[in-house]
Amino acid sequence: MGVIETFKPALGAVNNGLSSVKYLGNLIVRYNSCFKENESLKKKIEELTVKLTSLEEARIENERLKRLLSFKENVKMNAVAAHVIGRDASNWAETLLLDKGEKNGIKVNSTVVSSGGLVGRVIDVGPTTARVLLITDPNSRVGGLVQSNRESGVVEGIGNNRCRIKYLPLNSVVKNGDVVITSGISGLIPKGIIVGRVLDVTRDSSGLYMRATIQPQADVQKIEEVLCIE
Amino acid sequence: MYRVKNLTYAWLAVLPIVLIFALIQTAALDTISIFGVKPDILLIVVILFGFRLGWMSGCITGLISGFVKDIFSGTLLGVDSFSFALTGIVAGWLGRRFYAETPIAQVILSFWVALFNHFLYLVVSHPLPLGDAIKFIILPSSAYTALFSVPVFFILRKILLWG
Repeated sequence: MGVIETFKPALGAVNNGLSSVKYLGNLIVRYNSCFKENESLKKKIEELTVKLTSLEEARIENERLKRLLSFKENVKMNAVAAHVIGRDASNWAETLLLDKGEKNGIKVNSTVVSSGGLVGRVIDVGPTTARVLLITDPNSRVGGLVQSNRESGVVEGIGNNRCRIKYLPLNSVVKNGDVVITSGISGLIPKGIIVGRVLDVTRDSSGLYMRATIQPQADVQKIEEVLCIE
Repeated sequence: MYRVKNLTYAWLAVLPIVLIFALIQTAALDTISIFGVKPDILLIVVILFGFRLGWMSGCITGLISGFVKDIFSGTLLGVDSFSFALTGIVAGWLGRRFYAETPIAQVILSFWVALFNHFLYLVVSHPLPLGDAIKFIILPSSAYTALFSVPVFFILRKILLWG
């Protein structure tokens, strides 16, 4: 025992060393398994994130379609729902390309609306696609009416996601936030569809009329589904 | 004008490239639009061909790209064909004198060519009053197209095997 007593510190040191090595070995093994587990968890998170994103997308689409459906029920006309599959290739024109066409009952001059309000009208139709001229396009002209005072004018697009109502009488009282609806005068677009809200009112360059800039109610830049009505 | 290898291949590739770019411009580029304006990648194709191959090639590419753009947009048919063809000629003329393979030269020259194209379009079709057109479309679109020309030039050079 005496000899052992002599070697006790050395044994202790070796033992401690061994313990440390064992501990280190365990640590490496655990690190390795933790690393693998971490990798597999990361993969799972990625998969779940993808699933969650697609579910969230489906939920948002569901909400949009529900709104469109309830709007469709309110519209007492033939309505065809369509997806937006493209936009104008040019910066000069503001048009949409729809995934439905003549075969689905869409015709030239069909009115295009969303749950928000008026979007535009169909200007060109193919068997399975249709092109829509947005109300914000400078070539768009629609009969409009200020809802509060019933003053009528012409709503024209001015680009940059805006339109304006022109030819309002000088004495008309139009305020910011007033709602502008379609007047139905052109005969192409039904009366009473909301166009947007007045942003500002100014006298036009001739000085004979008032005009008001309108923020369209429908977000025409981001719209994804629309209804084409007859 | 640059000496360009694989010229036959480049001409064979023009139409597929223009068609693919038109699809991208119609279906995807709105996601990166700034203030309602997106870069015109079809115009960039015309600019590159003009810069690299001269005014005649720029004009032909302009006609092809412009015609495809006419089909893919709701504007008056022929306006883009005409304006792109003239733009190709201008790009060829500018490329012969000033073009260099540096991003800054590409951006500056592309900006002037895009500016020319937009003013030409405005003169031909007059869609907006001058002030609104300059403020909302001509300046932002020319600047955005010019900045976008750097990565598109790079990609096109790789596709066309122009180094």
